Amino acid sequence: MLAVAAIGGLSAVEWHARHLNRPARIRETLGAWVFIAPSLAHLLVFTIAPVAFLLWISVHDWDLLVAARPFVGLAHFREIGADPLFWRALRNGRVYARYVPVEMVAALAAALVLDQPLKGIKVLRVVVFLPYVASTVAIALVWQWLLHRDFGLLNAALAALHLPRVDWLGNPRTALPALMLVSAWGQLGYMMVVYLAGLQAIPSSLLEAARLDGAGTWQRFRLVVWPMLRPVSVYLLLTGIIWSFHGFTLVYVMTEGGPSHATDVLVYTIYPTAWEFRRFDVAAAMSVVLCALLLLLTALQWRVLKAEPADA
Amino acid sequence: MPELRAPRTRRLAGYAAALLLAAAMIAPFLWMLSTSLMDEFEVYQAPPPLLPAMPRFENYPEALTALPFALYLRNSLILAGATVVGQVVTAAMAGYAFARHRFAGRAPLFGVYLGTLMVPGIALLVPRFLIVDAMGLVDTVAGLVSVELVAAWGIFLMRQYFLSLPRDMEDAARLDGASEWQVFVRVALPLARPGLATVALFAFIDAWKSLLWPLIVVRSPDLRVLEAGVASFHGLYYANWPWQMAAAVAALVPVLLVFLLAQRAFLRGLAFGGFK
Repeated sequence: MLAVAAIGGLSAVEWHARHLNRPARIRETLGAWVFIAPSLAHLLVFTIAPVAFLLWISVHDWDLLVAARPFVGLAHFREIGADPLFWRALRNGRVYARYVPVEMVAALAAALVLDQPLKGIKVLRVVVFLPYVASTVAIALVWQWLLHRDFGLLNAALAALHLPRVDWLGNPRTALPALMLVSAWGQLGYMMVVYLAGLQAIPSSLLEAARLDGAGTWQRFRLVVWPMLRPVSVYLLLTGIIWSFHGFTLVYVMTEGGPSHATDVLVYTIYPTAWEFRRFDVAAAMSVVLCALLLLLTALQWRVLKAEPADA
Repeated sequence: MPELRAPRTRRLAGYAAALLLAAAMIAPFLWMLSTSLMDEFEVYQAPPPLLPAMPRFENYPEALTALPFALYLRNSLILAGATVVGQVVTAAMAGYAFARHRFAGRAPLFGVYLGTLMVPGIALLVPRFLIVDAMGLVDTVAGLVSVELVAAWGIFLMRQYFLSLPRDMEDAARLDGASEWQVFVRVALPLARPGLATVALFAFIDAWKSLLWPLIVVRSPDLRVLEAGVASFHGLYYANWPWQMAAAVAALVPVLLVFLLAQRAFLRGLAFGGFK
């Protein structure tokens, strides 16, 4: 916050020196700051201050019942580093994120299918997009019912094919993949729409030229469409991975992190650490790790967006 | 890739693929609806019946009064409404200032806003909660709506939107003696309506779907939002799937209505560099 104030003060002084005697300019600056003030105040209190505060808590003891908050250095980080459940949550997060590339392939296929000039295709696009806007708890509930061991529709289909039933959410080996399936289903519509915009931005003259050169459908896709979609793909990959680390609702409703921590992810570990066990300092240390991870991914994403023409 | 004259069989195959895809996406919703009309014990069959033998509409009033869902609905509407108003107003004002005004400190300030866009809010739950707690706002409506009242991405979207609009009309209004505030409200805002609609829609849907912050900041059942209410209903009536599905449908309907009414603005927003 001080940094912002300092920047603001300095630039005001510098600006003032340059534009002395220009009341119109001063009025414009004052007016603009009035327009900025509400959002700036909010960002200061709920984003910028919390970042500094988060770092501070993570290296201090924070007990709601004790007034003293001594500096403890990296003790909380050592504690989570020695906690196998923390590492389990990190590993689960890494596995969980793998639904993203699979989902992207499905989304690209969906976009190609929905890019056809067919009657009523717009309605189908909206239908494919529906899960993305739907209430996540509702989605979690219906999928829990679909994946039910004894009475779920999915196992009924398996039984009809004479395949063994699977206890999707009750088996530590299948619980995480089941959540990945639901996540992919839920976000497919978003990725499809972004791919669709990418497809429609490809100049048709390029495809026409490829066709005249004798390229078949597959060759046109591989040599023209796929390379043109590369920036969109990279963007979606990184966005998807970032999102995958935000996933909370599905875990909270469908598995509660279980069975035997098979679906514990970082956010779901932070939540009880802080609000059940009241270890805000340890939860802060975990949050710092999560924050660093996501900042790294975001920085990567921004570099890609900057390097490529951002027309996605 | 539009084909000039796709052969008939190919067109049919294309249709089939599109319909199959749409079916896979809508099937869980239809299953939710069908189960919500079944008898409590009817669902316990393997294989399950696809449709209820006799639609049982009483499931809805029964399930939705087993917990105070009307109250949860009100709380969700308050949260979503405050989020929409807060984000739209601040995005319009700050976006306009960044797009139209040359003022002292603009460049560094813009850098600060860009920086906040990078910070993942999910990692800030602990300090945000402790700050809200220090303000005495835990378990209040103000605490519930506080953290998402401003969204940096909305400010950027509106800045882009204002930059894409011509300035002529604003200048003409100024020559006619309009004040800066009048130029903003009467000239710039009406032109920016599509951009504002996009911000409003995303704000509404994000707020409607949010669960983690409401769980953290609200203790009393009186302030529970719909998502949290349905989640706790799931814990209470674990064995009654028709009731659970009825509650799920109830949680879906408002947000789907908003989306269907405004899906054009929504999809346009996504295409308009509007990814978040």
